[in-house]
Amino acid sequence: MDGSNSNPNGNTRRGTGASFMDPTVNVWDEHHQQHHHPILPQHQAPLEHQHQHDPASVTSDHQQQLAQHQTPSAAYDVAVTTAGPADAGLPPISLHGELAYHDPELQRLSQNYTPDVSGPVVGELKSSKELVIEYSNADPAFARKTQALLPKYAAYRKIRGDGNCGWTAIAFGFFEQLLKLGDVNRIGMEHARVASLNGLLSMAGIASYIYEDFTEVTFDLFKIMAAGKVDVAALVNYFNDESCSNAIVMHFRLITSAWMKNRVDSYQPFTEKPLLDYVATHVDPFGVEIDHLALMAMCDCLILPAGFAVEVGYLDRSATAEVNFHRFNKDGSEITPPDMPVIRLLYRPGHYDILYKVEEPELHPVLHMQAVQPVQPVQHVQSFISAIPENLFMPTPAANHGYHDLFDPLQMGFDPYPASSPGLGNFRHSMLSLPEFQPAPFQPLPFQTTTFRNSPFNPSHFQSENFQPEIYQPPVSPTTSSNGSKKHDRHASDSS
Amino acid sequence: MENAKPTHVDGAVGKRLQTELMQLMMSATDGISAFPRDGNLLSWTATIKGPIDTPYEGLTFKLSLDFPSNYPMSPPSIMFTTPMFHPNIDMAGRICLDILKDRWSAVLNVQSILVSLQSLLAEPNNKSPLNGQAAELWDKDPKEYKRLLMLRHREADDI
Repeated sequence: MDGSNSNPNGNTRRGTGASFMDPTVNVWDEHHQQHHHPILPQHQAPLEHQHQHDPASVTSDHQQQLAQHQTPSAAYDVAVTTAGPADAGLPPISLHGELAYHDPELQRLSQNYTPDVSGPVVGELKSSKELVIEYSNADPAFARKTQALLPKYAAYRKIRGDGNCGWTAIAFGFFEQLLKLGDVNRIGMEHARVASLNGLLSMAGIASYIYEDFTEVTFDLFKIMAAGKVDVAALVNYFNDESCSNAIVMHFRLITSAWMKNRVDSYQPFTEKPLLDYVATHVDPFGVEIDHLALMAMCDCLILPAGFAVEVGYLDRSATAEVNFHRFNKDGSEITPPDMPVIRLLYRPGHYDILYKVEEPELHPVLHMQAVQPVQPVQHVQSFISAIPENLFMPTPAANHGYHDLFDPLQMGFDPYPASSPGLGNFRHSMLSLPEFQPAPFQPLPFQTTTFRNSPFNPSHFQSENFQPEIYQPPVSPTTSSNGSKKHDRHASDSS
Repeated sequence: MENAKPTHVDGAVGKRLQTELMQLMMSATDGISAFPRDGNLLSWTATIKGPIDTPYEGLTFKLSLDFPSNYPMSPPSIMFTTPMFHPNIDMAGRICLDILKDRWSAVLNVQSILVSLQSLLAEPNNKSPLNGQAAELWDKDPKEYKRLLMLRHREADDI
């Protein structure tokens, strides 16, 4: 499919039947070679594919064919593009290709060149080390920059170089970030927002039956995401169904196109072409790579209003030590909230992949503070425990999960009413909490009355001369034992 | 036309082309028609009537449209099957029109293509001709232009 884009004559040639035996047929080829020279995106496409997918197959032949097909203004791009790993051992070629320029054989080869587009639309997450390895033998600038990329950006996701990679990368990044937020309401809001942009398409004069074929696919994705049926792996699969990713890319192209046409004054300063021409040749046609202006417009209308930022790292041969990052922010502000989701792209001349930052470790102390609060029993401890400043109970991180068990007074053997606490029987906290003891033989007396119990004649009364605290046992009361002991405590302190 | 019922084409392409066919039949544009050929939804035959006040007035032209399997992401390939004499159409019927190449957009459709072709007949782009002779004669010698056109022209029924 993308072959037909990079080789605009392909389709038209087909069907040139033998019935037309016409000597002027050759005019077609010549006409189109001249006519389509200035259209760069289509002719750049093959470079991108070659470069990305099979670096080893890039021969100097190919490069000459392609180079001679560029206008001089495009020569820089060629120079940068061909500086990939595959070219490390090759002698520099004549970029302007003066000799080759009029060679009809090379012209023909170049015209018929169909890029080899293979692999998934959106690849699996891979370690950035693969980038380093890929460029280890390349130009020192590439090797240095990929190496510098590694500590900060641990992973990347390869996007297929079919001419839509920039569009695909941002669209995928958008849905991936939305998914990672895990907020159904947010997904619903984004669904509504993107749906509202359909008004732009209608304003641009596009019939609804035409755009709905594309927009419905996007909205279906929103719906299944909101229903919780999608994880990142499922999202990758969704994008790898070409009919789905094509429709989403086309949807986003149409929105961007209508958005730009609606704001000619804002975007015209960025291009020398009349803006409508720019949109017709760089945004509308499927399979034409996104460039900076289109990327900016796409972010403005689709990504930034979602509260996301977009960062593009430019991996090129410039003299800097690291990959330069450019950030697309809402209203051009430089400050981004730290928790703002960021879609990160890695740009290599003619191609975009998605880059992932090393996740920052979560801040544990915040979690501990929250964990301490629900532990209520501490407040009920009436004795020495309550005198201890509460922050003594701040657990060490290691004890976090065990905190509740360890410090629950009941489970530790502390009773909120320590007078009857059997675990601390030999420990006298204070005079007030001295437990009463009574020799076992004297207790219980069957004819006890309140008056008797409170009198010194009661051997379990602390004023009794027979009172022996060491062998004191709480009396068995008619109610439960714990109630009985409580009652007894109150009585004991009253009588003291 | 009963036997020419289009065969089913899978997926989005079929859906889109069926909708386009329905739209074309429901809102007929003057001087334009198109219908799938031999029951194949991916190849259509279209006719355009020559615009008035041009050398093409009163003539009818046939075209063939072949849709790629990823239509509308890629444009259909379109040729005049009626022999043509026009600056931007070569002797084999191939057309040089930007919207069929680098300015193709998925929002274009059969109807808008045919309308564009109709206006191309009325307003050729003589700066980048496929047929140099036609480009030269267009302004210089309308009579000779018409004569050469009629020399090549065959009415649709005769083909």
